[in-house]
Amino acid sequence: MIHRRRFLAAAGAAGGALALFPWLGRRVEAQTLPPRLLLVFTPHGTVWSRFRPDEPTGDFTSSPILTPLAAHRDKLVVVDGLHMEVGTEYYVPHTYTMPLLWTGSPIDTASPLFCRDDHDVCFGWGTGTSIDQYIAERLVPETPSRTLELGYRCNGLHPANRMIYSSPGATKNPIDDPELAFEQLFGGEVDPDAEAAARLAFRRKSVLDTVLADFNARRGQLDATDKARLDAHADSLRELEKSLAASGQTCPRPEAPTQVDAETAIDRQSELIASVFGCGLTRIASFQLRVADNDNSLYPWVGLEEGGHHTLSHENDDATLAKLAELYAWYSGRFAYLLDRLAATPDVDGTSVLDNTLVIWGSELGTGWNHSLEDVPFILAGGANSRLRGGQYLKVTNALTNRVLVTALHAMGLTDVETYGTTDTGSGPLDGVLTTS
Amino acid sequence: MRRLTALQVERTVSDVFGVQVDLNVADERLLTFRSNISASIDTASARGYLDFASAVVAATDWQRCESGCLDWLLDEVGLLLFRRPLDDAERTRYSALYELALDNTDDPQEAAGWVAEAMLQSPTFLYLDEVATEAGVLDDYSLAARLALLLWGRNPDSSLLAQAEAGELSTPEQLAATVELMLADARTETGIRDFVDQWFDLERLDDPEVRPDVADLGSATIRALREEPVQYFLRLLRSEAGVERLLTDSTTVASTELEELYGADIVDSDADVFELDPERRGGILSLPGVVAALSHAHRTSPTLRGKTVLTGLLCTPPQPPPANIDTTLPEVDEGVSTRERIEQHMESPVCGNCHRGMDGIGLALEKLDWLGRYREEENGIAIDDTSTFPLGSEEVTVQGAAELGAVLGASSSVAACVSRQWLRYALGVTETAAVDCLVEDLASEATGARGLERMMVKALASDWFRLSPEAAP
Repeated sequence: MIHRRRFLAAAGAAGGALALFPWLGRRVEAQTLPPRLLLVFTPHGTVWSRFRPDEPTGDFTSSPILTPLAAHRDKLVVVDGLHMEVGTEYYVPHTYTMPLLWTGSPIDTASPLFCRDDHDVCFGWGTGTSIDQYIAERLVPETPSRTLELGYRCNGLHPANRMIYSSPGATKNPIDDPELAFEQLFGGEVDPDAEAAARLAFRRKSVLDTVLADFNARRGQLDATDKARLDAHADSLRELEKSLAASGQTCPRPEAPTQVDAETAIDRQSELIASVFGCGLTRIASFQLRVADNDNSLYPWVGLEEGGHHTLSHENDDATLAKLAELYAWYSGRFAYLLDRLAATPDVDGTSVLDNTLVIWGSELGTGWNHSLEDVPFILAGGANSRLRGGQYLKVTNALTNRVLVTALHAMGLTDVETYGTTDTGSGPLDGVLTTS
Repeated sequence: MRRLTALQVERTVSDVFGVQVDLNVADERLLTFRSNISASIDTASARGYLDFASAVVAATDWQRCESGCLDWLLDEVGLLLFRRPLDDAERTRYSALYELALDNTDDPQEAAGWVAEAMLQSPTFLYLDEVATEAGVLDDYSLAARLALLLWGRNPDSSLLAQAEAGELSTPEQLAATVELMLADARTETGIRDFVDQWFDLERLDDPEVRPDVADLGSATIRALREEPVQYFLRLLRSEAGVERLLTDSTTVASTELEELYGADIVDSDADVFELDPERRGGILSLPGVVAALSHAHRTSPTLRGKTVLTGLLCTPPQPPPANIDTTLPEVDEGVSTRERIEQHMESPVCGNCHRGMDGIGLALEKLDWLGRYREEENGIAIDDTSTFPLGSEEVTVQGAAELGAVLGASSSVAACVSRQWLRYALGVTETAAVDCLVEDLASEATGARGLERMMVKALASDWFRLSPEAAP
């Protein structure tokens, strides 16, 4: 109660947040909300010889790659031993497992239309729905945006470059540039002149109604596939209209990101995610850092100055692995910074945003140089109310990455789900990861 | 149903409204070519179109139609954006929007802005609206749209639309005659640029994060590196060359920005062309922009170069590696040449199986470094650029870029594959096996005098291009 009062006082000082943002009030009243969910991706697995700690108990963040996470150890579950089931005899490395990552369902290899790569193999988009979208569908959050997709350098439309599926074949595009994300999420300052704001809303709606009438006229002449594609576009327009209307009462603007470059952009996006969660724009988000499709970016600030991440990840001599480990450790640092920001953002119940959030960090494969789907690294992080039993290095055997997906669903309160995705051959969440509620 | 690429939208809008605005909506890649045939538009992309439309309306000089913006929008803009005249329902709909805006704002220019904003987000603008006759032949407006988007990289202009209105694209002969004229038209440079640039993935040169070594050369040199293969192709097309010269010709367009990079490779030059040392350079593969794009930062990639030859010039892409197999690589000694490093890696039987063919071809280009400069040595070791690889049913051995080009230029597989790439780019869909007959025909046109032009024209006058996707053979 004290916490709540303190928050309300703070909110009052910030300009009457509750009056402006009614959904915050609803959240304060609700006693038992499921936690927030944030899915994080970085490319090309890890270097296990420098990821796995010597002692899996106690100070498990002592390995070179996990060291940056030491401050958050009590809030982490590091999972070692998960594998992916790709569901096909051959697979195009990186590409086939990106759609699988959060959906637990394979890429569409039966689609004869969409040969998406220069391998002599035809494939299409993913056949599943990613857990964040599934959860949003089940829980129907009343937030202005049901889910939010952010990222960094996610490139063009290709199955290896997208991980979030609102339905089979329909990916969601992350906003992959902090300045654009800021502009879209917080950019439109509320016009103090209510009449002007209403005029803009009327104009937008009138234009959109005409566009939708065009969609309607056009769809009559199309076959089922094209019709579905056009309908999805029209639905997106309607959803956009709704979220723009809601952003008329948007969150207090955080500071605009400055000095954005390749080394700092990820942290800038992390700050935006903390702001977005903090003011309740959404409770479910994803954060895709670069792509599974041959990410050949250089990271000169960690000494990766020639070749590129993907090229180097195909080599396994000791010097290269040491260099790659520096990169993976840097990514651990970025993940730690994300957790820092979530921890530093006050939540409406007086705790921190991190306390009420489950963060899951995964990759599209286990080890880069041999495209191994054994041992895909996953790190779960979450605060007191995420139901995560932190402080564990969990060694599992014979478990699919689908177990992580089911664990997330249970943490979000969907305990009726025991399997997720069509590749799933197991059942239930990971043992010992969640507290029983 | 294809959705226009971002570049096609931007160029069309620049033609129609006279403004340059960036569209922030991602494109799909069909093999190496951009073609938006499968993905649906999510809210982020819908936002991209909305912001684009608003920015275009804000930047447009509405004085141009002061006296009658609605008529201008309905009669001219609508035609140019939708690639055919507006139908009655559309005219009624947009007129109603204009009237509604006028009632609310009392400002004709503001009202015109509402209408333009709607047109720019309309599916009729963003998606190709292809209409076919009962026989499956596309109507003339649909064909005009296909031709302009392909060859000019933008919507048809009013004169091509007038040809469509007059029914002048209906027969294969009319189509072929129009294509011949368009190929000679300077605007076709844009379409050829899209084709060549995407074919060899030259976009890779323009990413400072991936290629800081290229970025250090400065934007003028990067532009020149990226442009040279396009101009090289155009020069061959305009000089009545056959496809074999695309792989062998050692004359390239003159470029002051690339003069220093070529250095002693230039044996003669005039205002228009560089004559390159035919021992060192021959064919599009040996151009600095192409070999530089097919490299990584500060190192060559025989794998990437070989893969591009297999995929882009032979149409025999390598198979992906099997899943979950033990591919333990041998440790590689330090300070060895790229060739040795690759050969050591190839000792692994699982990797070597595919990589020998791929990297083998690439090793012939080893004397052209990651920025496309000629070199004789690497780490003080003389470079061995001999290369043995399977071509068709035989195994060939070549030494260096020029010999590689000569062997590829003489190969009928290459003539067929270049034709196939053009067809793929033109159709914007992955072709089925049924297209093989046409590819064979095209390949036989492609070599010899005017081969490139004949092949390109024939592809665009074929039933594959003239018929709707459902009716295509």
